Amino acid sequence: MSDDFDAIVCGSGISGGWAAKELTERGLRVLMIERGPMIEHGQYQTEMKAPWELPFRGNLDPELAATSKRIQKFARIDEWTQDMFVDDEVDIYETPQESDFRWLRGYHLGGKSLMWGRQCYRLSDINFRSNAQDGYGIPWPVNYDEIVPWYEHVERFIGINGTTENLPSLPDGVFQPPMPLNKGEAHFSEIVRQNFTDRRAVPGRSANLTQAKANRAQCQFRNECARGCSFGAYFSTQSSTLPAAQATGRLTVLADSIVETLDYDPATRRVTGVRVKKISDGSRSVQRAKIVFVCTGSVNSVSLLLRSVSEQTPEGLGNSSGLLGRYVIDQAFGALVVSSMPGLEEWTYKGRKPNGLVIPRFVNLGGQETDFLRGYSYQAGAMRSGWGRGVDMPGTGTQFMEELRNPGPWMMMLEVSAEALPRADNRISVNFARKDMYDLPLTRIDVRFTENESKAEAHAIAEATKMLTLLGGEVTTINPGGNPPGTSIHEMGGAPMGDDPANSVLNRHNQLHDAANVFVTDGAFMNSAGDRNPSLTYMAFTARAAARAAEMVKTGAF
Amino acid sequence: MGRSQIYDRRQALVRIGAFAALLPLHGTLLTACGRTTLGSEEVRSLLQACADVIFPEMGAAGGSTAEAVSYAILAFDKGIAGLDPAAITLVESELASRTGGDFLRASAQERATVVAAVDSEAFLPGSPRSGEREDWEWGWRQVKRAIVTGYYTSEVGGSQDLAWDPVPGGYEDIRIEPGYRDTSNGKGPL
Repeated sequence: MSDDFDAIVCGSGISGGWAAKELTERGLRVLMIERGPMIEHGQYQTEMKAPWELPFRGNLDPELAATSKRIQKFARIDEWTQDMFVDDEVDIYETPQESDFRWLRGYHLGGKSLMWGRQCYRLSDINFRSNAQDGYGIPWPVNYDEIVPWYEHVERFIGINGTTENLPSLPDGVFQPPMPLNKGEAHFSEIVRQNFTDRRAVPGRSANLTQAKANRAQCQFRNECARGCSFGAYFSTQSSTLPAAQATGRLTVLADSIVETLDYDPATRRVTGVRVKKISDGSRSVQRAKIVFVCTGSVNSVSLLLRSVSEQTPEGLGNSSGLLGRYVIDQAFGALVVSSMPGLEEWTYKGRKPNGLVIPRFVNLGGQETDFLRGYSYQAGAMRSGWGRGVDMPGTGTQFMEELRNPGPWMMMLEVSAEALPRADNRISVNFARKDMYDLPLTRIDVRFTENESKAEAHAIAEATKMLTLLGGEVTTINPGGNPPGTSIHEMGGAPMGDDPANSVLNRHNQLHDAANVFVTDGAFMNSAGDRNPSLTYMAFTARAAARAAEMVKTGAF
Repeated sequence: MGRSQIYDRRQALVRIGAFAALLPLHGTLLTACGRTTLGSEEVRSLLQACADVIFPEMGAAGGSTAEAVSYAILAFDKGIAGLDPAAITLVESELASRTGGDFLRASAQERATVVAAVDSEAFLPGSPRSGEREDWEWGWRQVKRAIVTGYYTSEVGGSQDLAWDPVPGGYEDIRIEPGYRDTSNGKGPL
């Protein structure tokens, strides 16, 4: 048992990293606990490997795809990144067939901050008001204006490239210079501007530096971010928040250790610490602190609270409302349309940009216009096809090779991210009758999409086709979507926020109503998903909660 | 079909009564129990010959020396991208039928002509004829997929024939000038 810490941060991913940084910089002694192994910044095993240096030349081994990566493969993993993801044969969970939830995970220091998509978008006022307006989910207790200073706070530190656009559904932020559009993207953007008054195709906003910052170099345009980046050019725990926290001298990292439960003291209605098992040798310890930040990823955080049962919390810690584990959300993801784009054949580009375009939500902004609620956005990109087209192309010999020495046709792709409605029936639970690989109650995920999401995807496909047809090329691919939930790797919710303890799990500051020294700041707190990448919002709320937590510790509230 | 090494071996197997019912008309060099023997020298030689036609020496080493074939064999063995070893037997059989029974004994010029013809026909609109796996057109497309991927993911194909640019350092539009070489990084089909 240790009393060396003011705060314990469970998890080391995007939210855990931010919690550790903010709390240590505000003077607290912090213990960060991560179930996975250490990965030191710069020690990314496959980062610099060429395909000919790998046994499968970069392809995922089909035997792994059928076994230990049978679920993780939907994260579009390859031979470079496969080890960043869990073993599906070992790290099991339950999901009913009707849900078929794809739980895509990486357990190591830094968590998914090492493999994330890096797209950073603020939620808008429209998103914060949606639950209250249409009655789905718990209304957000926080409005956009309240969170703006925290968006700015994290954006300044992260380094997000982007452009100021003054769009109603996508608030601007604090940006580094944008990544340039290539000729194809600029052409498509202009086509959209000329033909539609309700939408814009603007540069994507990603957490890749376009200007060097502190100990991080600017993006080298390799577009291999998910392997890890020893340049530190994209935001991750390793490149950014961990060094900042370590620089204070107040951070201790405990890897290879899983938090089994939180210890609850009914007399004070506070958590006194966490019970930890070291995975490699099974040894157990209890770590004490004044406050605990739960940042182990939405599903795992809810699962941790649900299995933290006691005489006073028989249904799990923080579950007096009965809502813990409910209103789990994901975004419907994977519908896409691809078209060729003639007219720019003399142009190509140098470098590989880890970013593209975004078409922010343009439906249902001024009222209900469609046969589905809320909306969707697109992420898009233009590229010239490469040698890969040669596998399905006639030709042999020098002429064939000469042709492949030149870039192929320009292709423009629009990929849909549709907001899913928060529903109480979509839930995380734990099965105490079965155990997982850590000998903990097995996590069960039952999340289902409904007609609203499929209608949104169908609408998005039709609109994408309309836009792409204007390019004068050939629409080569239409994927209607319909992927199971989990595919977007944006699972969130399960611990809704609210001002009424009878109708929410967390208060407006991410504290458990039932134990105010516990802060849940990963995606579990999200009351609605929006149609955009959520990590920036996790970071903003984490920083905000950490500021409050540190202040409360200093003033003796805990 | 003229007599050939392939034919002789098939007849020898038939004579001893082994696998007679399973043997296809052509391609016996490559099969055992109806399954393509990927590790055999015959398979490697066939794929090397095809690779040399698709990728002749042109500044960089040709297909057979670029470890394209090693990858192709691995990819067929592991089923990468849906590759099926049965494709090789179909291709071997078709090539043999167009070269008097033994494709590998044909001259380099004849092999190039035959492979080019097979390739051209396999990619005709509507091909494979029936979309069924027994079509040699389907088989050729599989073989070509494996060899092309193997070539451009090899060091020769990926860094000498095409350009290899591991750290571009920036991003900008460029006009394509004569002699331009595309980069191979991150541009595969899979």
